[in-house]
Amino acid sequence: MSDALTLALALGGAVFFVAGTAGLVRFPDLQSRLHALTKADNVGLGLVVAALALRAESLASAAKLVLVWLLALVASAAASYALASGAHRSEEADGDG
Amino acid sequence: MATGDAFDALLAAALVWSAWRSLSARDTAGAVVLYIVFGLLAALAWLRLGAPDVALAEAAIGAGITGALLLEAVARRRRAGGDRSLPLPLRPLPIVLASSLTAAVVVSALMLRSPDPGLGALVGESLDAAAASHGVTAVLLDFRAYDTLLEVAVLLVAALALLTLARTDDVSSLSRPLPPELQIAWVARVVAPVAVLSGVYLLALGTTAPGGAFQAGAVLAAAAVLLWLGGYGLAPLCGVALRLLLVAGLACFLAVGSATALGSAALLDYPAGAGGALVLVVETAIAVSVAATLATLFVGAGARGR
Repeated sequence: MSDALTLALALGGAVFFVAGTAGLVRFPDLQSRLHALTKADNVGLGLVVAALALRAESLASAAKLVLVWLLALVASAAASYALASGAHRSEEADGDG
Repeated sequence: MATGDAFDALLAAALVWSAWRSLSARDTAGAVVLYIVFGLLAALAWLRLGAPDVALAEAAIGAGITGALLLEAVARRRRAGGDRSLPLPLRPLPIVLASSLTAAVVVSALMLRSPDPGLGALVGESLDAAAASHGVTAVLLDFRAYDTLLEVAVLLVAALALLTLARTDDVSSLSRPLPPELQIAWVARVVAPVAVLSGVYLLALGTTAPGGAFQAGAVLAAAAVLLWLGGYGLAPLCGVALRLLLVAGLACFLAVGSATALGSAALLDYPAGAGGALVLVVETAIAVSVAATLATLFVGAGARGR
């Protein structure tokens, strides 16, 4: 029973990762690509972490996995902000120059 | 084909592919990002080869700190204006050097008659008498402590070289932070405590499980760099304090070595009961020095021209 649930969660996570990658490849500009990556990939990561947490040997390992997911959320938020604001600033510089 | 083999084949293919894409990327920033990806995949490869300590070090230092340093270098180069490539006659040189080195490694690997079991069995037998119960830490800080002492000296030389080459004469660049951006400052506030906790945990864990001084030092350096990027200068840690931190690892190691040499007439031959405690003290000092060195490498490199 829990095997089936783990498999379903992991497959759901994989689907979200594929969707995020499709967005990365097909979306027209930086901001929409960042949007696809941060939203879809983080949900995918959350589902994969949920799948792995079901198989963890102890509550502490499961908690560490959830901590990994939270840190990935924070890191992707910071990175996408930095990338987008950097691109915005260089666009402004090109526009003025 | 077992699932493990399929995963390993996919990982190997991904390693080669990301290395090729990194080399053939059109702009240097993209090349550096793909290099970071390559570093993380290499960390996975180390895990699959059964070397979790090396995987931790590869992820923290190879992918993390080195990637950040390279991105900083790319940004500085853009500010200075344009990419300067090698002059045309010199262009084949890196390829020739890299190919000949790879060929030498492959040939010597093929010439090994049978898989060499290495020294794992010998280490396992001697582990009871060692100062740490984790094999890698025992080798690094007990059986081959002298080699680690020399490595720490090399790290100090690297930090000194950077300090002499940096255009800013004062090391207080650590205290002159960037103008804060709200989101980056928030990330620094959230992640830095977690990073410090993880670093201390890795340090304490090193005696019994994969971890240790160098990995802990890299994570602590990441915390320091994050704080600097978030606009929180590290003013208390400049000038004399920074120099003390940089020297702490080597000084502590030398002190322990001299004490043992004076005591039992053998350098770094720990006394029977105190081995574990001495190893922990030396590891803490090394971690602090490694963190200070890596943070100085990053901040000192970035402080030029700001």
